[in-house]
Amino acid sequence: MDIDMGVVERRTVLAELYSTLPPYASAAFWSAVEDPTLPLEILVKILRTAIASGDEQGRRRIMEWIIVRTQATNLLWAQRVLQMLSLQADERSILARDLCADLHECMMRALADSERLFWEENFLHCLYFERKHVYRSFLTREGLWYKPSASRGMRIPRTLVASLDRLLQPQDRDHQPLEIEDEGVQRMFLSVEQSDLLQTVLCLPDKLKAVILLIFWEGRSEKEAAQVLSISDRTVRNRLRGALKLLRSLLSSESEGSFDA
Amino acid sequence: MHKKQELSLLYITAQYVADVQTGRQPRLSDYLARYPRYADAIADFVAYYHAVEEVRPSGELASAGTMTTLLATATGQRLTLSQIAAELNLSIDIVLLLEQRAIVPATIPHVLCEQIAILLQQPSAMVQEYLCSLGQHQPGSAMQKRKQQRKVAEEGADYPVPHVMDKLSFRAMVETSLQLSAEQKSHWRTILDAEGS
Repeated sequence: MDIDMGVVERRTVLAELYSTLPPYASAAFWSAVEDPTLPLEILVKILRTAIASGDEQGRRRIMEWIIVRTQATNLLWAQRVLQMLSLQADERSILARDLCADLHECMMRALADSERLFWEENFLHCLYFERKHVYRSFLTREGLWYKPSASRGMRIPRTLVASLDRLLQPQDRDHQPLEIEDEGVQRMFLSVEQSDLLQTVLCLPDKLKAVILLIFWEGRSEKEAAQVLSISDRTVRNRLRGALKLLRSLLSSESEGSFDA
Repeated sequence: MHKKQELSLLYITAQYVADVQTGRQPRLSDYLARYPRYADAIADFVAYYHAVEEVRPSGELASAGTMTTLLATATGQRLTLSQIAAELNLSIDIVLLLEQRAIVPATIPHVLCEQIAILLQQPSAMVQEYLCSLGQHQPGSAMQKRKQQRKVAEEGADYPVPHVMDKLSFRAMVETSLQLSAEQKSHWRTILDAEGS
């Protein structure tokens, strides 16, 4: 694949910055490391140097600093993710902390893995992927992501446990269960807002996402989608049908409130 | 996925994000056709990126053709997070929260709004409108207008409405920030006390 000039330029800038750092472990070095404007990519490279040289104290210090630098944005991410789900306020704050803890754990593992070189090149993009992974694990754990082959785990989803503590309340307009037939589901795919559509697509298996996005998000015809993906029209239709079926099953399990726990 | 494939996927999707962020409006179909081997993974990332990670300017401000975000104003002026933080005597984490409009607008000092306006060369009212623009349900707001234009299948009865994100007060952020120095905290405390916030 092609590497454009922007990537080369970015690499050069980072390499130059790294080469201007004061000698490792000196006072000036730590001062430079803890400068909040130092790119996180450089911090990753330094962290890996500390790990390789067996400097446990340095490793811990740099790791903590990376967490400090990213915690505000990670917390916002967690809040944004939870905002997309129908939850009670008390659940939301607990789950936000859970999500952040999971993310930081995954992030620390990835940062320590010297084979994952892209962290030294584009930290934020790697963080997107790590968050995506954590988000999916969260949805699976909470029974909100459909994957037939995935074992849902023995833990009862927190959303369900919390609901036991809640007083029985009459359902308001925002929490009406959905009763949708196949045609209705398809109509909904066509009419939902783009952001809602994307959130719905996130719950589908990867194999079905491209077809749904091309047709309902980019406005392509089934034929065009088939051409883009180099598959037959029939496969497109099958995937479309599969997606609609899964969506219906997701919606019905949601309306039952069971999440297959 | 093999490490080499994973790296390729990271490059491809990073390019997609760069295209989005520079306003090039990339088409998913182009990427899928260009990298068929990664089609499923690209689609998965693109859906996630636009649903969760993408920072979208509020519809009202964007359509007015004025300020889009603190980082990229309509005048084409582009400032980095650290530049904004340094100019405003704030830390990056707080600038990020301002950018994401995650701080209760009423708790943000007027002085800060003025400073942002000067820094971004935007009217003060515009800055205040920007800081208030997310998660607010004011009559006549863009969100309200959008709701009125919803299609039949989008009626509220059919779809769960997400809760408004829990926002934080500016003072709480100043006190809990790990990046703000003691001098900076003291500076903002003095301003908050003077404004009675």
